[in-house]
Amino acid sequence: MRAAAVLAVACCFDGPLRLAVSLPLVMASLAISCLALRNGDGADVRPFPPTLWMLLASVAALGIAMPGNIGPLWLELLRRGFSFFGVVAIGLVSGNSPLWRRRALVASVAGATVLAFIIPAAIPNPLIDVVPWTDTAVRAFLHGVHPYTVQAPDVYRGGADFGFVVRVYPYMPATLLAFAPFVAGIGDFRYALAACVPATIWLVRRAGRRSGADPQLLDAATLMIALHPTMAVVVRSGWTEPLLGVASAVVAVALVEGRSGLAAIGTLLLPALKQYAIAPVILWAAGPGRRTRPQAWAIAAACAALTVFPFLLWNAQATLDGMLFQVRAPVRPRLTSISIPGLLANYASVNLPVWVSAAAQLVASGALAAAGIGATVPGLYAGSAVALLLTFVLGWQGFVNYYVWIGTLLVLAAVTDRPTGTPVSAGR
Amino acid sequence: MKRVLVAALVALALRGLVQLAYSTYFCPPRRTLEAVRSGATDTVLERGERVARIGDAIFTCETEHRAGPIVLHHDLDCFCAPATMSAEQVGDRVHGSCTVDHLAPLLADPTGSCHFARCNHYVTP
Repeated sequence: MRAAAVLAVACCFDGPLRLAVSLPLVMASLAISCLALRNGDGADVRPFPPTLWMLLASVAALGIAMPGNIGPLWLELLRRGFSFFGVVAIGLVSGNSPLWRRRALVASVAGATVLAFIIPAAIPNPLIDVVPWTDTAVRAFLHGVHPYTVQAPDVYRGGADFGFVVRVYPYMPATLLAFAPFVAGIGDFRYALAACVPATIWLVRRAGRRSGADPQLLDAATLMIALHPTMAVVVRSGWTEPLLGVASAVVAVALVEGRSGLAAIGTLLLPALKQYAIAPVILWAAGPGRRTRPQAWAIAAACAALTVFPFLLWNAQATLDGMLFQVRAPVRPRLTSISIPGLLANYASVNLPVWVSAAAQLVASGALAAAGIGATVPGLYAGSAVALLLTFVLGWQGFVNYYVWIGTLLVLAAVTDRPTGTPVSAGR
Repeated sequence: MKRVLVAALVALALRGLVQLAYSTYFCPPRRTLEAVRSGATDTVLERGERVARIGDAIFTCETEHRAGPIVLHHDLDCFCAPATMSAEQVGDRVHGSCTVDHLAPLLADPTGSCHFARCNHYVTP
């Protein structure tokens, strides 16, 4: 949980401070996560640390002073006001009154949900290419046009040079399937992301309760997600990582409840939602997956394949162009990336090859799997977080939305870290 | 509650200090102004992800870096604005003094002070 909080703090800086402050904090989070893996046993002898409330209050407070404006003045006042309320709510939840504790918790979750649902309507056309690309692709799909053959308008009007020009929807087909009902029904795919906020909280609490987590830890986890300072930015920007957060939480619930089939489906859907989400699959396959029946493996693989194959049959070349765009297109690291290549791109003439981050994820998750880290639910999540943190620290692109999902993985690791300290019935 | 509020205040104070220290000692546009004034370089900007939009010219502008009403120092930076705007008009918009660097910037152009059509700010009329 400490690592998740440090990672959330890292997400609160912009401009050159991303390299000066955020990058060291991301590396600190990686170090804390590694230490947590080493000291994984003995959760029963670790009492809930009261300092965690102070750390959470610091995270919420930084939401008040987030850099930049994402929308109209009233929305800025609302989101920063919500962060201020969050500090007070943390104070109440950390107190001794069960009544006020519950009220503050409910108000925090309700407030986060309302804020998330307000954002798409309040900021219909944010200045980020993800939104028009996703919207154009989903609408094309709903009209029977192959979504990887359409072009979105350039929101930057030629005013951006990322080292590549986006010419095709660069995300996985499963995201289109997830967003389509929301575009058809409410007109904006970002309502799906808004819905992910309460869904993730509910699933995290359920996973924690079934694991026998300390109620205080569960409340802290709830507030960590509800009061995350960049939640509003993630929804506004149309980043798909909240879908990964929900899928990861579904897997956690399935694992602690012994529903191995559902866990298999959720795990294999992760890379079907975002290309880089490989580490959880490797760790799951080496841990709970080994105890999962072959039929469940087959059904899970079929579910993941069903999100891709119809698009491949429809137009294989266009679909592959889209799915592999981020692998092929970049010619240099993003200068705004919170990563070592991002740092080198700004201040040096040499840099890491693009394949290093992918290789790092495979090597790290393979090593952690071989060490048996994925055998327990908290190990699976903490190990995945470590491998993914390493991926993005060494990646040409390491952005806030990636770190937000890793934060959710760390929260899931914390709430499933059973007080008994015994290995969890992963994949029972 | 008291500890939580103190922690929040400390976090905000540290955030402010980081921002102030950065603005005072590490601000890149300030260092650029000093380097240009000392004659060490003519280059104001050569890296970045923001480039001139279609129809933009690029201006170099000296502006005041403020923290509320307090002027911390002066900055020198590249600004993109429609080519129909004059340097004086851009200067009025950014509360500084500007000169034209490129009227028709190109991504491959390494000349001038703002190389490769880079700018850190966009100005709208």
